[in-house]
Amino acid sequence: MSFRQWFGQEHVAGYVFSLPFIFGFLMFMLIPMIMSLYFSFCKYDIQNPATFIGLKNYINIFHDKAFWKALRVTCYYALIGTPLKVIFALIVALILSRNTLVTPIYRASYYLPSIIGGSVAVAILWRRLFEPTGTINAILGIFFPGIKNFNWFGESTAIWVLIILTVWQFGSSMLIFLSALKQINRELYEAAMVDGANKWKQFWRVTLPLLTPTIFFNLVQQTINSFLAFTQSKLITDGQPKDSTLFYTLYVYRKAFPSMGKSQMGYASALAWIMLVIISLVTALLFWSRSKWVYED
Amino acid sequence: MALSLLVCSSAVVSAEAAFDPASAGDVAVGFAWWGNQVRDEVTKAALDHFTELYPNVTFNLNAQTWNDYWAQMTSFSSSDTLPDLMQQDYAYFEQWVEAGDLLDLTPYIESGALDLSKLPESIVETGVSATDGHVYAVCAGMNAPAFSYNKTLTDELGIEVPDNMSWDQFVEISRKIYEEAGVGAIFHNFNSENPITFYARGLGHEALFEAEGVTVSAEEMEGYYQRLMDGVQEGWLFSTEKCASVDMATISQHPLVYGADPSVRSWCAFAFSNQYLAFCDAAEADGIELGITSWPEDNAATANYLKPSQFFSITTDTQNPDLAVAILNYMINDVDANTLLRAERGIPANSDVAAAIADTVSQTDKTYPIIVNYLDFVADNSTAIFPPLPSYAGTVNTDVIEALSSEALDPNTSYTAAELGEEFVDGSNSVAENF
Repeated sequence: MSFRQWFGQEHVAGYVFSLPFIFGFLMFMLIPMIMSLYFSFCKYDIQNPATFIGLKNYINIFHDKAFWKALRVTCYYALIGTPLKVIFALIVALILSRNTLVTPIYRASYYLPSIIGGSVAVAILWRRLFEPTGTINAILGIFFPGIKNFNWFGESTAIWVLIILTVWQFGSSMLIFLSALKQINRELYEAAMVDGANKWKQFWRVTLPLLTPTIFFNLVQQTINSFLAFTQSKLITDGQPKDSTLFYTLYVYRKAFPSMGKSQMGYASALAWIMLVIISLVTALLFWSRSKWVYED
Repeated sequence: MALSLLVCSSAVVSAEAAFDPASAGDVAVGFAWWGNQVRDEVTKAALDHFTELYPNVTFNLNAQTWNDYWAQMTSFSSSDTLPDLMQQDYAYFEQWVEAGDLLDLTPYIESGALDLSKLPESIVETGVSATDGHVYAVCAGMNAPAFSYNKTLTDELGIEVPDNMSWDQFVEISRKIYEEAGVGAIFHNFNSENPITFYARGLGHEALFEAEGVTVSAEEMEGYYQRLMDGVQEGWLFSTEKCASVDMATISQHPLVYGADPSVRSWCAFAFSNQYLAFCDAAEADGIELGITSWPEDNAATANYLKPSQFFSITTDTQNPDLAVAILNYMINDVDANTLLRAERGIPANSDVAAAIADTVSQTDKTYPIIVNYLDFVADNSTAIFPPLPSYAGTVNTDVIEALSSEALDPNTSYTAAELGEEFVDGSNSVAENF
């Protein structure tokens, strides 16, 4: 077989075409993951060679108060923020599902935040908005004069500044809902109307059940995204005050790249692997719940 | 004979020393520092001037804030892509020497390529590593802890802020300002050992950190935390939550010089003398005038110290060590360079340069003579600085000090000052032990 013949084979061509992905996957995913698994059993400060210490990092993590705090904060953010975001996306999608001349403009403009929402510029803008003398307080002050210079970055409210930001980025979920709404068979609504169902009943008995697969998909995707959120916590609050907005990823980052002193890359790697296990468990839980509430044809 | 020998040897020195940057070919040199807007501008100006002199040499500038700088440099270090020259800190450079990231400068000093003859011996020594007695970093300027305050406000209220004020005097002034103007006082960054070191020195300890652990006792630290708790209870000291609503890490947005309402303003900043220039720049934009004095502390004259700071080092990742040395030499010894640098990193360590730039810099920067005066005052009202920090100290900052400061400044904390004092000593010593 000549090279030309060999190269012309279908499976060889397939591998060649997927080579960029395979290369990227190996270099930026698989190899780093294997390295991080190894480092999680090491004491490693980046600047000096790693020394193997067995399970010590994992044992220390369970005695680490900041770890539990970060885990609580992240779960709170994911479990409150994600449903809110999905519900909000659904509501806006329902409103925008009517076809008028201007809805495309609204759709595009509501989608924008989810493109730029994770950016540094928005994070800084968000901080400015919620400052004691910021725009949000100025607007609220018109309706509630008592609110003057309310501190949004307090221990119990700071996390809500971040939750509001994530809810604001409902665009991608909204788009998915919009396309799912379009696929619902019109005849079902006509049949429901003939049976005397009002709009409200139609929504509960037709729209919502048929959307459950989409809701499920959005929930899984957004939950994972929430667990991996980083920029907001780093730039808007830097985990303050008293670690009440310390996202898990920020804690991992701080251990790996501390602002002072030596890196604890081994410890950070162990934290990252625990995160992987947690996300897998949450996702498995969601999939397990699927048969209880998701409607499938 | 002796004369000719002398001439001969000096000729040898200058022949070796005369590395001509023009002969280096077209190169881009990496230069990284942490700092602020003013430092970014002056450093760029000085390096641009070098490019004017030697058009074949260009610079890749990398300016970060303190918090981001070390994280980035550590990752560069692991991939052997550190910039040719990097700014270093007195407290942390030993850690970088141990990791083998810094170039040994002693051979270049011996060859004359790097001329440190105009720097006081005591300052050159601050860049010497304890591991082998060689020079790894060169001090760009002298500094001291400096308390900056809103002089416009204190003048309005008829308050005199004394030098070497005690903690009680500070509390009294802060209370008065809070009652009459509604302006509070913000303490240090949460993750900094500086305030505790200063407190410990006021009590007579030379340093906070020793090789095996901290020098202070739990009882002594109880006093430290009690002060903070009292200040927060009385309302004039910024609480943890209030600190979270302001940006104290960026000088231009520090509550001393930024904020539309008295309730988000601080009348003072616990800073260093080299930051005074940037603070004054921001204050001018804000329409206020600043004053400068020592940090409040009982026995302030014992606690205070002159800090050789803002070191420059050459990294082992450099491809052009001779050129990097020439640039370092330029930054330390060149009058034009230091005029452009505006003594922003502190009074130049080279005494000839300091004298030469005094007039020109004073004309453009009204703050310069004020800083010189303040450092003169500190020289007479201070004791010798503590030795460079042991390598575990940075981890104490991030893992122990930050959490405990957050508790002490929280009016609803469940801790007592005594418990915080104990946690500090136990926590720090356990970090030291497990490092």
